[in-house]
Amino acid sequence: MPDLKSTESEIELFSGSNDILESVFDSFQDYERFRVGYYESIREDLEELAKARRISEEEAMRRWYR
Amino acid sequence: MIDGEKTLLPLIHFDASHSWDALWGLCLPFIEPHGATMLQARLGGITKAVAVEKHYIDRDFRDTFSHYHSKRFNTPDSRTLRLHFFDQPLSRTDLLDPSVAQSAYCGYAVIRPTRPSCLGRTMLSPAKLPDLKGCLLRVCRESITLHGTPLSIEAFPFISQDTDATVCAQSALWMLFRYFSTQYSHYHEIRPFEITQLTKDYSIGRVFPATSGLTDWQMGEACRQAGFSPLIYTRQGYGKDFDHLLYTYIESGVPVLAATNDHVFVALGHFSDYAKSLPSCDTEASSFFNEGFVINDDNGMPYQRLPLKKGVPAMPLTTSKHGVESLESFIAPLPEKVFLAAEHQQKLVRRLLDDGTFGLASNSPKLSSGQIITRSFLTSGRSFKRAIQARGMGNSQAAEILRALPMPRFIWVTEVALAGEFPEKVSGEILWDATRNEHEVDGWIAVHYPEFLALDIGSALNTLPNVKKFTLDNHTSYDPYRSNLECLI
Repeated sequence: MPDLKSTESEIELFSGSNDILESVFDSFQDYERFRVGYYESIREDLEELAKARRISEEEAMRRWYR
Repeated sequence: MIDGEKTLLPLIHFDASHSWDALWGLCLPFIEPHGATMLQARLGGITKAVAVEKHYIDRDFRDTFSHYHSKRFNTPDSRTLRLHFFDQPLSRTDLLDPSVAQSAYCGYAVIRPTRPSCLGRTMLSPAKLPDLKGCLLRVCRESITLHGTPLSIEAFPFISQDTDATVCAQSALWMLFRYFSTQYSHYHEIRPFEITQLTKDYSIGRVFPATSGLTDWQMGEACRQAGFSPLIYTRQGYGKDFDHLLYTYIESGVPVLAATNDHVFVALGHFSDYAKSLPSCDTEASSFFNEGFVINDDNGMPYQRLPLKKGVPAMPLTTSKHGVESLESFIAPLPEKVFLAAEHQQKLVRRLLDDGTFGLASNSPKLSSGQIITRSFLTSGRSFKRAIQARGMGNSQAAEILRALPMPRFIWVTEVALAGEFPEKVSGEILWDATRNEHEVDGWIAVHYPEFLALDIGSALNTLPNVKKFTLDNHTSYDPYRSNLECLI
């Protein structure tokens, strides 16, 4: 059986793609900070949408179609 | 002229002495005034010949007959008529030639011995109907045989209520389910009596005859039992976003159950006026241009237009008496693997477009210089990739990267276009994994602007997120994705 010569991180989308793609974040920690900040910025909107869903589901037993 | 009046397949040519009244004479005693009026209004002006297939055993009516009519003292005929409509005056010999018959074929309607409406399973080609010009709608393809001649029809299924197994709720469910089972082999065909049984564990009292109707909740349950992952939306819950969300699902090629205060029908397409003046704002959704939906209402004819405002329509029968403003709820029967709902995707993408790292202002001089139109829809990763080569994606390397990137079964796409180029061209898109939930704010797959392409290669390879970007040169605008809906021109 041949030796394992490549890892997932070396996979290229097309030949030479890894040479032209550059990282957006310096580290995974940087990425996580971005993600948490992003989530916090949208948290209230998601709570509003959860409320809208509850209203819709409660209302779903009210109208009859015949 | 009527060719073979006493045969099992009379063929009537519409001429000076034979027209619709002569056809209805051939359809006695099955035909009744409502069904005759609807068919004549829908197909009048285009029909040149009709083949009347007698002794047709319709599987949907036979299902109701077996479970209901056969148990009664006084029973109707167990067989039906099937009418095949042609827009050319075909001869009996022409009917034997599949290519000749196919080019003139407008579809069929089953005529049941039921009252108050006789219209059973009906498949009429919207492409043959001139009043639908400019509409975009969803169709499925069905293969049939007419006395041995193979024919196919692309249409959206229609059925009117029989008040036995189906009132409007069950009729709407039937149209929805039949569309999915005809279009996709992994949904099984569900017949009218089975639809009444889908809610048996969620009902008070008997479920058959189906005269008491269904609620949104029960229709949602019926969809769930049939293998869908339904979401219920009400105007009260979603307010000003309600119409936009309904449009977004229709734009996704997902037919929905749309309901007024006391009536439900299937919404399967929409029509827009792109000449409308835009308000002064940075970004507008494509739903701004929407002028209404195309619906199948069991009380009316197939493919009625549902205008924004309700009222007395200028074109009665082809236009619904209801309006978008009178819709109070809708149910979107989503596929099982779509976990991210439209409203969440919309919030997440709007936030992304304004983001300092991935937004328009930081990464796209072209798009941040003018008014932007966004168009959002759901599609499969496979269908999106299939269209990449033809669309070009504005840049050959962007196309190559998007084609190579592993994608989930379903993706949300938000196309971004300059107002002056929409709807003919777009300049980018944001792809979002529809199998994520709304709390995974990093569920995007790719952010593509004219000058910029960012990808989460890590998530695409099922490892830790690893976001890469690529600068694009020589970008051009390109065709929008159009595979979700059939455009009638």
